[in-house]
Amino acid sequence: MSALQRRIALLGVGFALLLGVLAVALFHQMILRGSVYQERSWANRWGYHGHGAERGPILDREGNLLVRDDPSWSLHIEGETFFGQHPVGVLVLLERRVRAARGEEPRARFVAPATRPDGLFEWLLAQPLADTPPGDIDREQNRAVRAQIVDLLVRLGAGTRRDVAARLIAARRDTPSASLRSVLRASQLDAVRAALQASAEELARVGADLRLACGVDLATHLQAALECWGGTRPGLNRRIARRIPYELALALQLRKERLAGLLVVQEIERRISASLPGRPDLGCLTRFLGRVGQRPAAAADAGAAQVEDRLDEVERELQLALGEDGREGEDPYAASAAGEPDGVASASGAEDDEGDSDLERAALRRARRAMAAYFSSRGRVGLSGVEAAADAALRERPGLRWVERTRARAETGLVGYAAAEPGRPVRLTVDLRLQALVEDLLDADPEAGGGAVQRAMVVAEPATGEILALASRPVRAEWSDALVAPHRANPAPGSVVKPFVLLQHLDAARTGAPHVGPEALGPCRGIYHVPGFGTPIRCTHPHGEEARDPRLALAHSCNRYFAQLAGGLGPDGLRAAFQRAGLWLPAPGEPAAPGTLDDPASWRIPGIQGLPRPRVRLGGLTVEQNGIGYDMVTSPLHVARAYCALATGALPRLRLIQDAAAPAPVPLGVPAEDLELVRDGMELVVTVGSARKVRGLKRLGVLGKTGTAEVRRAGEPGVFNNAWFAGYTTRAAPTLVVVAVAYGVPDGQHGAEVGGAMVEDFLRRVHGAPELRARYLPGVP
Amino acid sequence: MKPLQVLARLDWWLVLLAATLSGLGLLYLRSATQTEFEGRHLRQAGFLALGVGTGAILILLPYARVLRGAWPIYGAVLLALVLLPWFGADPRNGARRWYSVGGFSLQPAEFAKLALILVLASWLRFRAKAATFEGLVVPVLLALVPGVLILRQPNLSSFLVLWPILLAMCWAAGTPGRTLLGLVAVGLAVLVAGYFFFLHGYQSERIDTWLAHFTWADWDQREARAAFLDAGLQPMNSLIAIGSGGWTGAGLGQGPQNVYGFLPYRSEDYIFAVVCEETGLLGALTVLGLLAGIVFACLRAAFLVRERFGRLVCVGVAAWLATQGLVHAYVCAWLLPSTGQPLPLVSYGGSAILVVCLGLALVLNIGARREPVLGGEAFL
Repeated sequence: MSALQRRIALLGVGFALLLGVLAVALFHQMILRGSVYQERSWANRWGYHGHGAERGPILDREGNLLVRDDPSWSLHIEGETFFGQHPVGVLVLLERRVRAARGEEPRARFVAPATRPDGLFEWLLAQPLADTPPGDIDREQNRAVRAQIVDLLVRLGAGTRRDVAARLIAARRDTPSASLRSVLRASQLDAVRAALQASAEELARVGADLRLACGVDLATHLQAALECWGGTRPGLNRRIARRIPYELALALQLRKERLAGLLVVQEIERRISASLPGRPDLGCLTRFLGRVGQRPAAAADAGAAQVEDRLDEVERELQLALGEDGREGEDPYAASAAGEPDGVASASGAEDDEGDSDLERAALRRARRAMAAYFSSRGRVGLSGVEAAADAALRERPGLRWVERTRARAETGLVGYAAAEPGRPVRLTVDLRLQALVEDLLDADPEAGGGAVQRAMVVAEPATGEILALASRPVRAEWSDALVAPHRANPAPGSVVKPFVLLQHLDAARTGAPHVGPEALGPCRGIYHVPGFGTPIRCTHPHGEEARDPRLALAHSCNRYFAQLAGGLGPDGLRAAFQRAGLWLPAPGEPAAPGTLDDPASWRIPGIQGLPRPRVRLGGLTVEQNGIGYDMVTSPLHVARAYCALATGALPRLRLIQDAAAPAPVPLGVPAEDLELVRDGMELVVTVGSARKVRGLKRLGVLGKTGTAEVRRAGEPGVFNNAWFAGYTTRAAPTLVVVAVAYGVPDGQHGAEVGGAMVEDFLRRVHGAPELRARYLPGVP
Repeated sequence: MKPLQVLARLDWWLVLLAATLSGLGLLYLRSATQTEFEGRHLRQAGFLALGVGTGAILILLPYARVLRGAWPIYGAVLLALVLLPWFGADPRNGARRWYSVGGFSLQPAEFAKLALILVLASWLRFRAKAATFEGLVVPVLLALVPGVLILRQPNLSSFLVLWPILLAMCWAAGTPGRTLLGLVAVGLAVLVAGYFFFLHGYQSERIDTWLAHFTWADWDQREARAAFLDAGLQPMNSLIAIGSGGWTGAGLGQGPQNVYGFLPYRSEDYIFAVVCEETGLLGALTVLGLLAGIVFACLRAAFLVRERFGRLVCVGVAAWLATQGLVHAYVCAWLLPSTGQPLPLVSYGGSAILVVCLGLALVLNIGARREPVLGGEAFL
C-alpha cells in the first residue's frame, strides 16, 4: 500500500468513525430515549380541548324555569395582538413609534379625525431608511421598529420574513438615503397597497356592523387601546361589546385570521329568565337564588375535591378509549413501575406494552393538566344562596375532546372523548304564584302599619316544611339578612311563642317537672309584678278569671298567665319549651334539656344560609319576660317552622329546595290532647281573642297567635311594637302556615291589625284564585 | 476503450448502491411531499433520469477530456456565480441562488462543488504543488473564490461543504498533516470570526440555540419552550421525528411529524428525519449504509486508480458526498447547528441530484478506465 493509498484508507476510516458516532447517536435518540421523543411527538399533535355544558336550571315548584345558563358572545380587543398583527394596527403603532423615536408627536388616530390607512402607508413608505428608525435610539427599540416594519410588509404580502428582512438590511446598508419604498419591488407595490386597503375596508365593515348591531363604536375603543400602549394590560385588552348577535359573532369568528386582535369570546351568563306574575322580576326570590362565579382558589374546599373527582373520571374514560386491545377494564396503574420517561421499557418489542402505558400515562397526565386548566379558567361554582347550596346538583361536569391535529391546528381525528354532562335541574319549593301574592301584598301599602321599618312574610307547607313563599321589605342588598329581625336593642317575637310555653307547662304538669300549679294561677288584673324584678308585666287589659283557663289565656294573650307559667317552668323548662319548637339552639357541649329535641342540624336550612341562630338570652331579662317573647332573637322562618309543628305535631326541616331525601319531621313528643288544647286556644284567638276583629281569619279557617312586643327604634324616642301574626289553616287538614311581621310599628298598633291583617289579605287572595284555592285551601268553603 | 469494455469494467456495486439509494429517495420524497408540494417526487425522478442520461454519456467519454475541460468548467461556473445577482431568479427566503431555465431552477453552487473537485484535481495532480504550505495558496484560492460568491447569495451551507472537499483532496494529494492542521486552524478562526461579525441574525440565533440546547435539563423549561417556537423549531421537531422512530418507524407515509406538517423543509433539509420517523433505526441505517457504500466505493476507486487526477477526483467526490450526507444527518439529529445540506440522492433538488449523478458517473468512468493516462507519481 503506497503512502497515498494509506491516506485514502485513513479518509475511509475517518468517515467510518464519523458514521459510527452518528449511528450511536441515532441509537441513543431512537431507542434509548425513544419514548421521550414519542411522547413529544404525541404532545405535538394531540390537543386537549375542554368543553363545558350548561349548568342546571333552577325551577320553581311547578317546574317553571327561573334561572338558566344563557350563552352569549362578546367581542374583545386584544391590544397586543391587534397592534402586533393586524396590518392597520401595526401601521398605526409603527407611525407612533417612528415619530416617538424622532421626538415627534404621533398623529395617526382612529377617531376625531380618523387617519386614512392608505395615506399613513404612503407616509411610511416615503420615510428615509436611515431615519426609520433613527440610528441614535437604543438597540432594543431599533430592533423592535425594524421587526415591525418587516412584519407589516410580510402581512401585506411583500414576501417571506427572511426575504423582506434581507432586503431591508441590504437597502439600509447600500442606499440609506433611499426611502422605505425601495425595499419593495415595483411589481409588489400595487399588490401591497391593495392588501392594506382590503384590510382597512374589512375593519371598517366590522366597525359598521358593530355600530348597527350593538351601538358600539369600534374606532373609539381602538383609539383607547392605542393610548394604553406601553401601559397596563387592562387598558390594552378590553371587552367592547357584550351579547353580540350570533350572526355577527359567527361572521367575525370565520374571519378571525384576518381580524387579528378582535376576539370573539363565548360567555355563559347565568340569567334569571322568569318573573313573578304581574312583576318584572322575581322580587325577593332573586336574593335567595344567589350567584355563580369562578371557583375559589382554595385547595381544600369541596369544589376542589369535586374537580379532582371529575379529572379522575375523565382520565378513566380516556384510558378506556385507549384500551382497544384488551386493556379495557384493567388497572392501567398496575403496569411496570417507575414512570421514568426515558426508561428502557420500550427498548425491546417484548416490553412495548409497558413502554406504551408509560406513554399513555404521560399523555393522560397532559390531558389532566389541560382539563385542570380548563376548570381553573372556566369552572363555575355557586357562591351564595340556592346556587351554592345546590351546587353539587347544578354544577355541570365538563368534558374533554382529545384530538389529533396538524401543525395548522386542523383536527384530523378524535383520540378520546369524555362527555360533558349538564347540571341537573333543581326545583325550589317556592310557588311563584304565592310568591307574587306575597310580594304584591308587601308592596301594596308601603305605609302599612303606620310606617313600619320592615315587613316580612313567610308561607310554608306544614307537613313537609317546604317554603312556598317568602319576602320582606325593604329588599336588602344582602339576601341573608332580608328576614332577620332588625332590632338590635330588643329583639322580640312577642306572644307568638306562648303556645310553646303552654305546651311545656302541660307536659311539666303531667311529668311532674317544675311548673306552676293551678292553684297559684290567680285572676288577671292587668298587671303582674315579677318577684324580685322592678318593672311589672302588663296586659292590654285585665282578663279576670279567664286568665286561669289556658285556652282563653292563650286566646287573649294574657301576659300575667304566661309570665306565671314561665316562672313556674324556670330556665330549664323554658329552654326545653323553646327547644322543642326549634327556637333554641343548644350551645356546643351544652346538655340537651330532658325530653326535648336536640338536633343542631335542624338549624341548617338547606338552601338558606346565614340565618342567625335563635337563642333566648336568659339572665338579661327575667324568665317571665322570656316566657312572653322578649329577649329572643328569631325570625319569621323559625316561627313558621315552629307553627308547622303545631299544625302537624312534628317539627319539619324547612326547605327551599325540593329534596327527596329530606328527613322526616321530628314529633313534638307531646300527647295529642295537649296539642288539641293549644289548638283550641289558637282557634279562639281568631274567634273571641286578640285577633277577633280580623274577621277574615275565622272565615278562612285560620288558627293562630298574635304577637305584639314593645321595642325601641335606634335613634328614635318613644316605644314601638313588633306586630306579629303566626298561624295556619285549616285545623282539620293543615295546608298553609303563614307568618307575617311588621317591625317597629307605632305604639298602639298590634299584631292583630297589622300582622293579622297581612295574613288575612294573603289568604283572601289565595282563596280568590280558583287554582290556588283548589291547591292550598281545599277545606275552606 | 470501447463502450462495452467500459460497461464491463464498471463498478456495478456502485451503480446498484446509487440506484437503490435513489429509489429509496424517491419513496421518501413521495412520503414527505404527500401533503404539500405534491408531484415533487416526479420532478425528482425526471432530474434523476436526466442525471442518469447525462451520466451515461459521461461514462462513455474518456475522462481525459474532463481533465482538459476542468478549468473551462470552473470558469463557467464562476461566471454563473458572478452573474447570479443580475440574471438569477427572484430571491427566495432572502437568497438569490438559482437560475430559472425553462421552468426549472438550476443552482450554480451545486455545480461549483463538482467544478472545484475537477479543478483541484487538475491542480493537485502534481505532487510537489501539494507538499508545501505555499503550494496550498492556489487550492485555497480556488476554493475561496467560488466560496465567497456562494457566501454572498447567501448560501452558507454550500460554502462550508467546499472546505472538507479541499482538505480531503489535499490530504489525498500528499499534503503534510501539519500543513493541513494549520489550514484547519485558520479555517476555524475564520469561522469564529464569522460567527461574531458576519453572520446574519437568524444564522447566529441558530448557532446560539444549538449551543444552548446542550444545557437544557429538559424541554419543558422556559428557554427550551421559547426556542421551540423560534430558532429551535426545525431542529427540535426533527429530533422528535427521529427519536420517535424506534426500530421500525411509523411506516412510509405514516410519520405524524411528516404528515401533520410539524417538520419544515422535510423534502430537502430534513428528509433524513422523515427516513427515521417512518422507517425507524433500521431504515436510517439502511440509508446511511447505502451512502457509506457509495462513499467507500468512490474511495475504493480512488484506492485502485493509479493515475492522480482520477484518484483525486474520486476522493473529491467521496469527500463531497460524505460531507453532505454526514452534515445532513448530523443536522437532523441536531449534532450540528441547522444548515441546509441536502442528503445526496434523497433530498429534493434538481441541480443537486443532477450533479451527484455526474459526479458518480465520473467516478465510474475513472474506475472503469483504471489506466495511467496522465501523470502517475510525482511529475518531477
